[in-house]
Amino acid sequence: MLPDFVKSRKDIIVPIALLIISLGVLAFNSFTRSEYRINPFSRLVLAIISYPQRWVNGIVGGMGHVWKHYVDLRGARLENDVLHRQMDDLQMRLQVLSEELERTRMSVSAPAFDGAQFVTAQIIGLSPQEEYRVMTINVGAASGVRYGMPVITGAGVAGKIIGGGGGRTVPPTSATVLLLTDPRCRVDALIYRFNPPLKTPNAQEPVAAPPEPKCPWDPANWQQTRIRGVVQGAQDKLILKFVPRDADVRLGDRVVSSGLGGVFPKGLLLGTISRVVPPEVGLSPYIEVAPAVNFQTLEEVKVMIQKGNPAP
Amino acid sequence: VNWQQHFLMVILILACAVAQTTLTVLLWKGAQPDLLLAVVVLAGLYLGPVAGSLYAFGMGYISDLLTGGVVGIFMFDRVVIYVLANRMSHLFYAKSAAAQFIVIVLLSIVDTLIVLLLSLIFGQGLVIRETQALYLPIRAIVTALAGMPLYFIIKWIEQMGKPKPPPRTLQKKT
Repeated sequence: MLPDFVKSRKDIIVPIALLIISLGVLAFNSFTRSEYRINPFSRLVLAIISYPQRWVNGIVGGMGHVWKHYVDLRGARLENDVLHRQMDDLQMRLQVLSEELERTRMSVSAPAFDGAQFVTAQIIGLSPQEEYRVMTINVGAASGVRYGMPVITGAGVAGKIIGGGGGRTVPPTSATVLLLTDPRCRVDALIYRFNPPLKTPNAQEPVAAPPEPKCPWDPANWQQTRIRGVVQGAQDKLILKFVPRDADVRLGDRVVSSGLGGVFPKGLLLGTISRVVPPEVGLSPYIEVAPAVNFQTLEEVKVMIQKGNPAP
Repeated sequence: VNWQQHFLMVILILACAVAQTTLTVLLWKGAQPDLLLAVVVLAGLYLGPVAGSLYAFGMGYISDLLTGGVVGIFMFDRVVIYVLANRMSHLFYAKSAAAQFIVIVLLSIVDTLIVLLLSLIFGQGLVIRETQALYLPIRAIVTALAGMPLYFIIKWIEQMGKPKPPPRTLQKKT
């Protein structure tokens, strides 16, 4: 009797059952988000998708490589790429040394980069949905990548590792990176100002530009203010929240990770303040931050798999 | 059950997922076409309720995994979109190219709104912004355009599932 009823109405029952199941899964996962681990089936699906992603990237990259290196500008392009990579490494090294220098100078114990270990990863996939700013990289748990590890470039912070499907388990051969511009990404931050700070009559007027040669981030030339806030992604930009109403925030100030929260070590560049709107009502000004990393042209990132030893 | 049909459908879904996440050449004016959504809508128009809704469910699951969000948001959303597309095909003749285009554009906008609503309810922190609101129709149009080639593939897969007419045999009268 019942099977006949189900069979005759399966066109309605199946979609309704799927809706109920998906709502149940959604409710369950959202309430147990921090605890649940990605199941083997999800890992299998992610692995199945990650291999074709590599192949497609390899093919597209190979075609682009041929065009760039043999047709367009030939040797110059290759040299340019090598120099760019070297510059990226040197900028990262500069960040490390500058942070070390500042720490030594100020004699404060801060999370160090010395002894930090990185894994270089290539981006093999972007988010299928624009609301979510994530990308897939070609290294995973097999290379030592774990949930919550910082992902950086020479220019600054790119994001952090999350598990596939919101879980905490990273698949063996690929990993999902939650970009800094994703609204779900929040980082505790400090504001740094170019040293010596110049007095500007108008808060909207930018302070002096960094010294030449252009250095993306050198804490030795920048002074930490006492202003702190929380940086949250907002698709193409970042928003600095919870800054006190009377805080002296200026265009051109640098926003840097504070080290609180345990994910990002102190001193990593997040972005530059690009807009400040004083509050008419409310407790905090509206502050926009231009990300330090250009996510449109990002091809390679580094995962910080070991944060380094704390300063003695 | 025509396993060949289901196998091709799964391959198509995986190919769309890979294409959507890797081929930046698909970007048009910064808007990314949602190929999986186009497949869900076309499945709603051409495939039966049981198989179609299961495919929609599976495509939602893949989207959930790739976006790193809470699993279930896209599963629910895509089944709703499938049901709406399926109902539309019963309400009016939605199988012409122009009707398909309009249906995909409309459901693409509905899809985004459902995702934002669910993320709001389940605390994902996504909110619609002014730039995104401007991009919404562009993305819907791009998705509809990208869905055009998929139409022929789905149509071909649908034809595969239909029983073939028995071959005519000429009997000699003796």
